[in-house]
Amino acid sequence: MVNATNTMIFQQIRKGDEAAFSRLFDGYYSALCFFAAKYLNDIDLSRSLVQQVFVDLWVKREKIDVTSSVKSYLYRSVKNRCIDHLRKEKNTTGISESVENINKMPFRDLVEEAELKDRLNTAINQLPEKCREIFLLCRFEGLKYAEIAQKLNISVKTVEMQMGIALKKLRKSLSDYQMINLMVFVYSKK
Amino acid sequence: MQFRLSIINRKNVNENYTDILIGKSVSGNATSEEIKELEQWKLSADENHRQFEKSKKAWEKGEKHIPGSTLIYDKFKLENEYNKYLSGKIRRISRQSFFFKIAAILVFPIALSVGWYVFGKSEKPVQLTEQLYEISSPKGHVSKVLLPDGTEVWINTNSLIIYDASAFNRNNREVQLKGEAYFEVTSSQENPFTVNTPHATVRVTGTAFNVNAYPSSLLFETVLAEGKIELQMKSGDTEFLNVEPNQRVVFNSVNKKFDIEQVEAEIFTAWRNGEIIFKDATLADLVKELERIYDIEFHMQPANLGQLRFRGMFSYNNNLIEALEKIKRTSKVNYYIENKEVWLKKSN
Repeated sequence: MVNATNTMIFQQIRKGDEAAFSRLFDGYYSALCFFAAKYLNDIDLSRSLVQQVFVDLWVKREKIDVTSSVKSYLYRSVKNRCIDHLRKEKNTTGISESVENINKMPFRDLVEEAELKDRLNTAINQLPEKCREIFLLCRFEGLKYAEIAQKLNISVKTVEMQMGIALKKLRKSLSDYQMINLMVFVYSKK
Repeated sequence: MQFRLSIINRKNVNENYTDILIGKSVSGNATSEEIKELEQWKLSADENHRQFEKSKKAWEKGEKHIPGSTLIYDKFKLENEYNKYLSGKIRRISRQSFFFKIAAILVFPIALSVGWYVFGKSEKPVQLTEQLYEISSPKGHVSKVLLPDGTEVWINTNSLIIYDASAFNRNNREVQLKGEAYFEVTSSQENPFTVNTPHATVRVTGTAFNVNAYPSSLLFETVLAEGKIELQMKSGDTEFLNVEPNQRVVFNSVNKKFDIEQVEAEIFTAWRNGEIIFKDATLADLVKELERIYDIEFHMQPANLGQLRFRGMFSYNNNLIEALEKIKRTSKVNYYIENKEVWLKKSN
């Protein structure tokens, strides 16, 4: 079913359907950024790279032959572009090793991880504003509760409360993913 | 009834309490007592343990973040890139339509003379109707136009020209300009070519020159690449001015004064090839140009960062990120994008 709609969306894109292209972008862009960041470890660079993949897809849409799914086409294109980029900048030594490590992981797991991160990212963006602000300061700026309270001029109790709410909501966004993970696990055991 | 309510309340309090503990624990804000307390709670039920593990995973896997506004910006930028691709197509189409225009110009007099012959004895001379053409370049694009007389015009980003094709046909070569354009005018001594802008008019017989007259700007600016131009200010003491090649004239409409300086004309006309050349400009100059091209606001930290001297060449065909990367590579300036605005920061 998923594959059927996938090939359909690509046929629409081939015909120059902008709405279909827009849907494809909405559906995959951020997850692909997280996927690229696994290789590049730089989210802004990843964004720029993934955008190039989408522009390329649109410009060359008539010539591209997607044999598998659009999804695997996108992920593989991003992967190739990341590796190309790292090759060009190989003067930094640590990187090749990390790519080797990534390559040891099954591709499907990498895609699933990116999707999980995307789901979390969406959940973070959907947090109530105050709650999100507090969570971002804590998670990405590395501030302690007391520092957040001081910075935002609120009580430490409020920070505690909002962090509790934030994690509860984020945890809920993971439920589906874990179900899938569990199913995959059961399936592979048979 | 009241009793049940209090149970629910207490349950809520408890849930909130464990959530607070979980939050403290995964973010490294818990005391050793709180960690012990949480361990107890985890052991008391499988469900509790699972709940904690999920929270921990949510914390760990959310290691990178893209704000919603950034995602919107990225999509907007992609549309821009796509438009750029489209405008390449449009340019091809407009070149085609130029032939139609030539055809129209040829057909028109023929039709006219046929009309004259058929309805011959008409008393009034036939009035030529105005055929106004407006050609504009959207933000981030440069367009090239061929006028009916063979004059080539490159229209810079966010600029437009208006001309009357029927007037051109009557050898009245006149163009209105809003913004910046570069003209290569076909030579005709008897029919001068005029560029009208709010603050000044440029009159030439055959030459190549750049005019910068954005409606929002109080300045009028022209740079002559070759030939000769005659400048007529619409206000001020000096009415006419003859400009020599590689001279740049800047007219200030506020104090009615103008400056003439010797320049390398190429620096001011390179934009038509999709390039902007900066030679010993400041970062502030560069930022002003990038703001115009990409229609995005820049901020600099510290503010005097703008005084940084800069030289280089930028291409319109680069995307914004590439331009920023270029700045980053050639100077010690870092950038980040937030809420559709660019922040430039001095890096150490």
